[in-house]
Amino acid sequence: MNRIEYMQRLEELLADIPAEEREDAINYYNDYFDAGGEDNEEETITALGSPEQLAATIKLANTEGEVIDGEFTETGYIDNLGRGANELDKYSQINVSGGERVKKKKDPATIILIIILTIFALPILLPLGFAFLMVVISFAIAAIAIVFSLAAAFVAIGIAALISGIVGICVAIGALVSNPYGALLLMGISLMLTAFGLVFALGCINLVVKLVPPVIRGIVRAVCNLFAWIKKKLQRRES
Amino acid sequence: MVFNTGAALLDAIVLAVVAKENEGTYGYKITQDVRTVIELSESTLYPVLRRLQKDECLETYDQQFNGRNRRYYKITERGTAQLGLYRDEWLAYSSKVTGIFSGRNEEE
Repeated sequence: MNRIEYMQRLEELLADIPAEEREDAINYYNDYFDAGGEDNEEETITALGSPEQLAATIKLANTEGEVIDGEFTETGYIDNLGRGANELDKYSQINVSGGERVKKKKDPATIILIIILTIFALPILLPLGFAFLMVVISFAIAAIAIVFSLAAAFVAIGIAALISGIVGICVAIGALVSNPYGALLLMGISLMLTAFGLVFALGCINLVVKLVPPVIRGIVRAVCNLFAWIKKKLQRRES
Repeated sequence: MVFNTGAALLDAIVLAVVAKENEGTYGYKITQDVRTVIELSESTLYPVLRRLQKDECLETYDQQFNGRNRRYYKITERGTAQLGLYRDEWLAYSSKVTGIFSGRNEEE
């Protein structure tokens, strides 16, 4: 990663802080690279750590109003930056934000507004949510049905080959006297067909027994994951 | 380092480092100067400087250096007052700690 890539990545990671804060931080670290010297850009990158770590550090500057001055803990530094213990051995343990964070309390007016908006949006949101749920469930059912019908089709091919083979053998035995050459040819083909049908049907059944449960489990898990993800998103928006 | 550096002590060291330069100094140099005193990762100082700037203990101005703009930090009056407070607190605190380590206080 060179300096330009590093700074681009940093800017991406800071997309969620106010533009003014982002510009200030980007300016600062551009200055930092300049002051570190063009020949030492690699060293500067190593010294600054990964863009992810740096972004986490920068975001500490944006905790204004949520910081109690004075008390701080050693572990607070680890939590805030998500750094491992080995890194903390290297550096002194400093809680840069200067203290514990206080959870932001929501304004009662905001809560009431949210409730009113929710009530008004309910007639639209409910059917929409229901429709979405139905779409997801029908997709899952369709996927399971496809898996089942494919499996059934393959087994059916095998069984059909097996049955026609056996019928062929019977016909050949009947025609053995009247048309011995034709009967022998038919007998040969029918025996091959029977063998193929038997192997194919048994192979398919074996495959179905092994494959279908994991595939269905996979589909069900995918749907569950989707709902869990939506739930997480909603919860994050609430908090 | 055996002892932790608290947020207040780090603020005090940064203010002292910036106060040394009458014309102001820049982020990279502040970081290197602070690193001569305490162990500190190079990335750590930005939030501290930003906070001190928001608290109006530091002010910034941009000046050309080698054809590029560079941001300089200067201590404000408020910052100087804060530094004075930190300095007195530190003297009282460190002399008490030194006292108990050297056994002077035990006899009193």
